[in-house]
Amino acid sequence: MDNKYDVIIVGAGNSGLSAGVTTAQAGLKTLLIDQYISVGGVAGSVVRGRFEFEKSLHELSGCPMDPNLFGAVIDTFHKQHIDPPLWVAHETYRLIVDNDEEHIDLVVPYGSLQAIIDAIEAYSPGSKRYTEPFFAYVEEAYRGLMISDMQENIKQNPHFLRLSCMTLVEVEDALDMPKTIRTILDGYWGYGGITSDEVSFLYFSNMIYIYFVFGGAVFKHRSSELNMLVLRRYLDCGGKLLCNTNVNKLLMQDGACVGVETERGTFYAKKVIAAVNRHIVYSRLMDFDQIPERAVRQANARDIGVRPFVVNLGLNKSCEELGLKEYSYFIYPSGDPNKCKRSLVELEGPKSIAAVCLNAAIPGTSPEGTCTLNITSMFKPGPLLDGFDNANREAYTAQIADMLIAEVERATGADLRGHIEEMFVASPIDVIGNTQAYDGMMYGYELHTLDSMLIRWHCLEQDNCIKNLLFAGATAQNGHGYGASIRVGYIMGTRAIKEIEEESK
Amino acid sequence: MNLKDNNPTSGMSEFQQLFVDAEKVYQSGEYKPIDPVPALSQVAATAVPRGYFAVRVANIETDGAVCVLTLTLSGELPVGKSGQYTSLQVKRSAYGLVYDSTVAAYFAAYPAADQWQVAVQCKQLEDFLGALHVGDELKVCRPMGDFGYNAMRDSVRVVGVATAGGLAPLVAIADGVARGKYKCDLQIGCIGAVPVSLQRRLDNAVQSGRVAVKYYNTVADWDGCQSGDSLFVALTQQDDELLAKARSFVSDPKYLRIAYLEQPVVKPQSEFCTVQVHTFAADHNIVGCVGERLVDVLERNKVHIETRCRNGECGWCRVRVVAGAVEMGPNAKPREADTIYGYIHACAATLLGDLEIVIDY
Repeated sequence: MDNKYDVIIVGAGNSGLSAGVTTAQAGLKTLLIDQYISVGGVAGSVVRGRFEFEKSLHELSGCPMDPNLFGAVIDTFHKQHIDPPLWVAHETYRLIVDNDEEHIDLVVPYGSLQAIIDAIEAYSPGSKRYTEPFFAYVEEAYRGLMISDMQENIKQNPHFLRLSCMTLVEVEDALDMPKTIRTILDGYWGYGGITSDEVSFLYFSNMIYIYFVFGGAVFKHRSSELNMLVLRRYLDCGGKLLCNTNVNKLLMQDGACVGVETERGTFYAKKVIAAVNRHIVYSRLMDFDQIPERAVRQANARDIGVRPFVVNLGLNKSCEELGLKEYSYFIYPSGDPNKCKRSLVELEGPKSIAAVCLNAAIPGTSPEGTCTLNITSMFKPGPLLDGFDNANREAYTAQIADMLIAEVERATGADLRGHIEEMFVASPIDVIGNTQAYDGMMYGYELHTLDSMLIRWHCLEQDNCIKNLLFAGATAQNGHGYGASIRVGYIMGTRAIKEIEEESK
Repeated sequence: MNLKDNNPTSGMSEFQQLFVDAEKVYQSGEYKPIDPVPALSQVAATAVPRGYFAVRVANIETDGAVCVLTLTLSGELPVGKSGQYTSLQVKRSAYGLVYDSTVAAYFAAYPAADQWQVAVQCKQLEDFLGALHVGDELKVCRPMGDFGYNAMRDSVRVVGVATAGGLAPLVAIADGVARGKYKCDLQIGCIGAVPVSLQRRLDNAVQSGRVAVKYYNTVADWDGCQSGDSLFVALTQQDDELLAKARSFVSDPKYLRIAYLEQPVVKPQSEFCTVQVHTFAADHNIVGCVGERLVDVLERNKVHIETRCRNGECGWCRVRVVAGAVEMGPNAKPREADTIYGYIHACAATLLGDLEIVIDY
């Protein structure tokens, strides 16, 4: 058994696979280790009866269908010589807010910012005077992120620097935007309890631009299809895969990481990429005295992100028969983002929900005459989350699942509970149990104002302050999600290649 | 595996009557002393292709009713990585599948629902037994892996009152009864080979005096059962002689339940083939027979393969085919992407000829 490698990657999720392909195709001897029996991490699928469910809610950003548009994630795939078979739904989302005071029900299309401006105008006449300048700023912020030369950037995008210092609500305030339009725009991340006064406008613009203009891409055979495709490329490039293996320790020598100790033996490498949460690396894989103080402070400075609660339903009626016409639903208890956030903390009352009916985007993803519905809510620390710790966890989980299903039924008018053939529920505790995701955090750290993209990019160096150890994964640099972790895997792979090249000179 | 119930009118009231009758017989009768345990090799030589276990749980304190659980064992026992068995399911009508655990908790949460299906782990058997109702449909499913959500597809469909897969839950029940954890008596009939370690545990349970175990070499030995016992017959093909014997055994046809299991695909094991296995640490060249299950070939040759359900469903024994082909059994539930990228479930695959595979550890 060979135990010397150029690069060892711990964790074969999206980010680890992406990093692995990057280094393996550059000719570096790469070893990818995962605790689980197969690759993919939380972005995978499970089969229950006649249905195959996503483990969690996933849409791939940064993948425009139009080959003339630049998307960061599709660009990453192309650099890795991967051509994923993408599908994009015909709308971005249907937003439903229905309470005593507010009644919003709007389908937001995708394709261009103008199409969205028009859709909002049709729904709320007169909104153009707010949405047009807003989306002009969105576009400017997005374009600005693509230009690394700051002088040139300021020349082309005069508001860029200013916008990069603002939160979403500050921009909305500056435009004196009415509440309904704010609700519609803030909606995209409302299910995650991300409020407009916390999220950086730059970050929001980037996200909203790529989802509104490119659309969110999904896979016909669920995320497993992407995992397998990337894994195939990795193996074709000569990468080695070691599944079903726990990494027990990172080997340190003179303040530098030199390898990993696993249950199947010790492996040495020039670079180790930890595609797992850094909280796990520091608390379980390293001795405390080996961790630089800066690294500890920095990890402690971040807030643990949302914990997903997922209900997957296999329904014995087609989505047309059930009246689930749209692919993506955001169902909120209120138009006020702060109230939405509180709903994810407090025990009582309806929750902010994202629901996805994959059949509405891609026909044939479940047997004929059936459909699947993924209902996700993101819980934050507080009484709601504490409930999972008590002795009646199962009953509590069942109650919450039932409540979420009832809420989706109420909002969409579809009879779900009469047609459930299969059901698959995952509480944050289950996420910890299966993936060892730190505290059940699946998508990354909380996105505070501090997490403006500019700041994070500039902290890239300091974020990786242990020699020969690089961090990838959802919590590494780029903030939330699927596309971000693929991208950061690529970035860290590239960085490992560069460092190894420099050191060999 | 598909089972057909030959008694379509199995309504609640008939069931209840059956239980009440069985209860009377049970209370008036005495257990026979245990038959001498035959040597395992002898059992293996004469055993039916699959072993079947009939279990009777009596005098459950909560409602006083007799319940009959019938457990089915196929092949060797699956042992999960964590040593934990996912085991019993209760189905009350057809609401669908609720993922996790304690029956009692669900029943408490949904007192009105008559439609829950729940998986229970062995450690929660107490709750499980306490929450049983006459007429519930019981399933025991195999230990499952994928995502640890106590995956629970029914590996065997219920006939009559109950059916199940896996000997471990049964042994756990027997242990619990013997220690007085469950307030019931238990009668077990085993046909087919029992792994030695589990047999010891069953024997220990018998010492308590509350558990009785009967071992039968073949189905033909069934006439040792007592009249009035409910009899569950599982067949892979029509066997009139056996059914006649079963009918003569029961005092009333209503005590007889017949299920037809799907015929297992058994290929003649005369033709040898080679299986090349690439694992992370080494390459193996091993020999198997055409018609043999891949997982059996690997294990016989001491190639490490992780398994959980051993029924084609959970995907823990996923391996990648490099060259050659296998036949996947009807229970196999691979992910769509697995099929596209050449991954198979070793426990559901039978060899058709030479094969080259990769195990990623």
